[in-house]
Amino acid sequence: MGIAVIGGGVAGISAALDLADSGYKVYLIEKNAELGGKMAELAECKTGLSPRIVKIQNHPNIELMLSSELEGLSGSAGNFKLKVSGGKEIEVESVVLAPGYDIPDSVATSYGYGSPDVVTSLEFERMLRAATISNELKRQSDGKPVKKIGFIKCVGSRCQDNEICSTACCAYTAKEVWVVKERFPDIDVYVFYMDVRVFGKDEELVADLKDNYGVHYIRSRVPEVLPEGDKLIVKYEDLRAGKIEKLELDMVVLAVGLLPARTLPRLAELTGVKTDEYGYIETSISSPMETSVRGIFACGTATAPMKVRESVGLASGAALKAALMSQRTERIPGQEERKYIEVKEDEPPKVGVFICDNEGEISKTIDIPALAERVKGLRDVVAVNSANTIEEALKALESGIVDQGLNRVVFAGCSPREYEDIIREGCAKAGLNPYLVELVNLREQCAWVFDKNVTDAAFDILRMAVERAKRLEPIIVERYPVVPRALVIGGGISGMNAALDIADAGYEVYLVEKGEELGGGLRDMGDIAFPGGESASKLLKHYVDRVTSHERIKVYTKAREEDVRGRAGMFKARIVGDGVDEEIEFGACVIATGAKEYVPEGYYGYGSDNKVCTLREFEKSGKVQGDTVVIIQDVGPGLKEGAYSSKASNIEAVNAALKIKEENPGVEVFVLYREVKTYGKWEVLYKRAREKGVLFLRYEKPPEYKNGIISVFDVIFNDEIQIKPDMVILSVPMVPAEDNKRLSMMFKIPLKRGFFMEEQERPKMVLTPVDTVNEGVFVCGSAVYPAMIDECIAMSSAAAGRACVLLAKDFMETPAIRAVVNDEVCVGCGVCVQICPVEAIELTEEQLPVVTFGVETLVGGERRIAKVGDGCIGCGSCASYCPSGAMSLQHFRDKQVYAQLDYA
Amino acid sequence: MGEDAKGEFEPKIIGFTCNWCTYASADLAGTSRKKYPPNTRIIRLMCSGRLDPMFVLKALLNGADGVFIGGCHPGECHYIKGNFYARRRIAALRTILKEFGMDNRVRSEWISASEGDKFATVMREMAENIKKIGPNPLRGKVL
Ligand SMILES: Cc1cc2nc3c(=O)[nH]c(=O)nc-3n(C[C@H](O)[C@H](O)[C@H](O)COP(=O)(O)OP(=O)(O)OC[C@H]3O[C@@H](n4cnc5c(N)ncnc54)[C@H](O)[C@@H]3O)c2cc1C
Ligand code: SF4
Ligand code: SF4
Ligand code: FES
Repeated sequence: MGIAVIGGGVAGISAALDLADSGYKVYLIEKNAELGGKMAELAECKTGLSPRIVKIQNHPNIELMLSSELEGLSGSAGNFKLKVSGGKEIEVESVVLAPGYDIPDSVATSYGYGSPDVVTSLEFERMLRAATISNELKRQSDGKPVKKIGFIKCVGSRCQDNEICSTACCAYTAKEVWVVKERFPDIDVYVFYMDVRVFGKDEELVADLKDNYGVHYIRSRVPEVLPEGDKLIVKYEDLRAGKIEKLELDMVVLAVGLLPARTLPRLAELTGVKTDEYGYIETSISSPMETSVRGIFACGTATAPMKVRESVGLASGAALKAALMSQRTERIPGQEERKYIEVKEDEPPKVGVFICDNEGEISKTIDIPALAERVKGLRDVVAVNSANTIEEALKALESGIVDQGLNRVVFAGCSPREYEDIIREGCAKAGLNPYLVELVNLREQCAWVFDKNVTDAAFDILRMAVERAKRLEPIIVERYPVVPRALVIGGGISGMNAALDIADAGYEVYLVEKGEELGGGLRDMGDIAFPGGESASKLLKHYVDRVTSHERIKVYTKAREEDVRGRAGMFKARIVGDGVDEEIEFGACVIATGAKEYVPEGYYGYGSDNKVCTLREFEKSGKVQGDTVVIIQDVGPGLKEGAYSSKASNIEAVNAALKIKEENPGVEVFVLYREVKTYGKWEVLYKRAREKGVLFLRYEKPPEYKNGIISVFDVIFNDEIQIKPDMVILSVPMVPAEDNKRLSMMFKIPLKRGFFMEEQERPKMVLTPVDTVNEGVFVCGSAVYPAMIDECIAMSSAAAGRACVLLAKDFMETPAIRAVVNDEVCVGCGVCVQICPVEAIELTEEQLPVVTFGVETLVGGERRIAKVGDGCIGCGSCASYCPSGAMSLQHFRDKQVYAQLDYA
Repeated sequence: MGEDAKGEFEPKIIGFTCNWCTYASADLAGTSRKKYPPNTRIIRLMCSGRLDPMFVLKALLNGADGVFIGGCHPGECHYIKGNFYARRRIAALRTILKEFGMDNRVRSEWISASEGDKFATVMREMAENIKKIGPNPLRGKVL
């Protein structure tokens, strides 16, 4: 049987790939004629997504059903029967729902929507794409260049029709603004907002936009847009001056919210899954991928509004859960031992050149037929082929290798960073060693950046590549078995959840916690209840019980890991602690070290005044003192001082205020805040707290606390307010675990402000939220940045899911790009040993054979030679330092680089 | 080559870029359609640590008018220390290049994957500066 994935947006695509890559049969059902969902419509995003789409199209384990919709579902977990449009019927053991979101059909007329220069953010993404190519952002009405543009946030969210916050809009608006400012620095940009709810990297981006890009962020109640002549007048309330202001703009972008997909009600009806009061698929905090129907899972924006990062995270988690209910029936691609056509050193090169036009993107500036003609004339080039799409090019490449006996391949198209794996795989399938191919970046680094003599430049670049290709050597990689065990570091909620998920999937887990008990931050949360009814203490008990009784989880408390070696699939380490010192082997590792509350020593008399405590301290005790409680948000270091604002602290403060008020209606509760960041469904807490009478006062200048009186200048009432509190609760940032530095060194993963924050190239496009630069090592939870508990659980399932994709493999291959020593030339100087950043090289002593009269006879002393070990990560530093030329880096040998230089 | 249609001097610049940062920034320059002169030739290395000073000399001896070396920002090298090594070696190389009056043809920059604009700007600036100092005197002289 198999698993059905419904919806081919980024979430569905990711779930399908994780499943197929671990050997499950997948039916991917998408109602549109193409994969990609909304992300494919966003400016620039297609580039990151396309390789995944190509991979799906070529995946042996995925049956792609485009232009198809679900028409019926019967049966139950382990045996569902699905009717799909077109009369097809499939049988599966589990189902993953990823039908995504839609934007609202209509926008309130007060925003001037209807005027051609007022567009929704989704329309604007399309305009941005066009503007990138034409290098001009023009008004749709009269084609004049845009000079002043305004973005209005929260359109159709946090209002009567849709009370929740759409989460993604704050961040995607920042991204759109950034793109505008990067491309067109002269355009004046205004952003109208209620709160800026951004976290982590996005928080830095917004600060950067305000401070360095000169973007005007204006806090205002819902403004009005009035088209007047050929201008747009935005009327807004300047909160500080308490006046209505007017601003003349020539374009307005409405940051519309994300709503449940229009197809969702029908899907819910067919599958029987429950939807929540907002129309999203109902899930819970502790099982964010599980629906009300056993065997049916959900991910992506169908469960709540969210960004790509979170959508992909949930997808990996949902894939893992769906896999638990299914039998693995397919082969995992790339596991069979490969046989390649032998290419001898002295064999004359036969180079095939394949040019992919990327659906017309390259031929806009490069004359491909002329280029092909010229390339044909190069020495040793025996075939030149040009194709329109990568699929066609791949086909031509495979048949070229088989039919024409090519022994070198040059592939020219878009950036190799996108397609390298796919092209190498294509060569390998056709029997050519995958390192006999050279990739040429004709799109990003030629067609798109040069504005004259582009075809000449393309020819030069191809000639360099052909010469390099001729000198490439086949690289034989070794296969090694994957150790089917995992190490999980950190025994908080994220670590425990990851350990359980991996263990449930059938692998053994070492769970290492440095504290005395499992539980981490959850232990400090006392009885606090999360929306949806679960309390921290119940959750804690549930998790600890399950972890400690699981037969495949071995828990080490008061212990830590040391001396990590090896690589994905075959790591080694030592667990050292109370009476243990154990050597372990594992194939994958999940880091879940969490974060802890900052100690606000010296802030508001903390430490000396017994009225003052932190949020966690209050949650732990749960005791309310007196009749007046003041909660102060954003106490302690902020972004400028190196801390990130914490999702958890900000939202828990609102939750705490609501709880205090609900349980003690007579108590006055104030929340002094800079920004209320109750994103997504958490917005409801904010709304309820206000309804119950919690008073929210917004400050810009931090409040003061003197002689028992708190004075705060409230920028909404425009007045100084004084409160005499009986209790002051400080909401402080979460700071990274101390151990992160050590782990970062040991696992070679960089830290950002102390957290394992993912790398991002362009703002906010994260397709691998839990993967790290070190393959086989995954991160999740508040170790990445301080997140809410539901996100910690979701992301730890994602990390577990990604780890299981790796653990499902029987074999991995040693990296091809690694250092090799020419024994005969090495003089044993040891320079390389000093240089190697990962200490992968050692000097070995070798007996020197002496050849007398042609016969190897006596032992003539000892000689030292360098030996490169398994740890080599392929940086090539040793090769460039070796004074004798003995050391080289495979695939980047001197002669290969020189060939490029000679023909540049 | 080395001249455009009007016979004006168009410097040839060889850029060594590390795969993880500067090569990626060049890709971003592309997606953002930032322009730079068409005589730029990018050579991808996995890390700037692989940069052998001989590569730079060889490029100059072959007649390149300028050589650019790009890596990750300090502390952000994918392989931990490669850019630190590159920086050391370029500094040493410079003292030799100075003797031949060539040091102003070599430039190194740390450019991260999100700095597409910086990549294009550096390439344009280099071409402009080299236009002022003229073609590599070794061009066509050495074989
Ligand atoms: C203007 C705008 C800009 C954004 N920018 C960013 C950004 O910069 N960064 C970021 O992280 N996020 C951004 N987002 C959010 C991002 O678009 C989403 O997080 C992401 O695309 C969600 O992916 P998904 O797979 O959940 O949903 P979708 O992309 O909506 O995919 C769902 C798919 O399911 C299909 N489908 C629906 N119903 C059925 C059915 N019954 N049967 C079969 N198929 C079905 C649909 O056709 C669609 O292909 C932005 C959103 C907007 C509106
Ligand atoms: S290539 Fe880098 S990691 Fe590998 S042995 Fe050489 S210096 Fe060490
Ligand atoms: S490989 Fe080179 S650097 Fe290393 S010991 Fe041998 S000669 Fe010295
Ligand atoms: S990887 Fe960029 S300098 Fe090392």
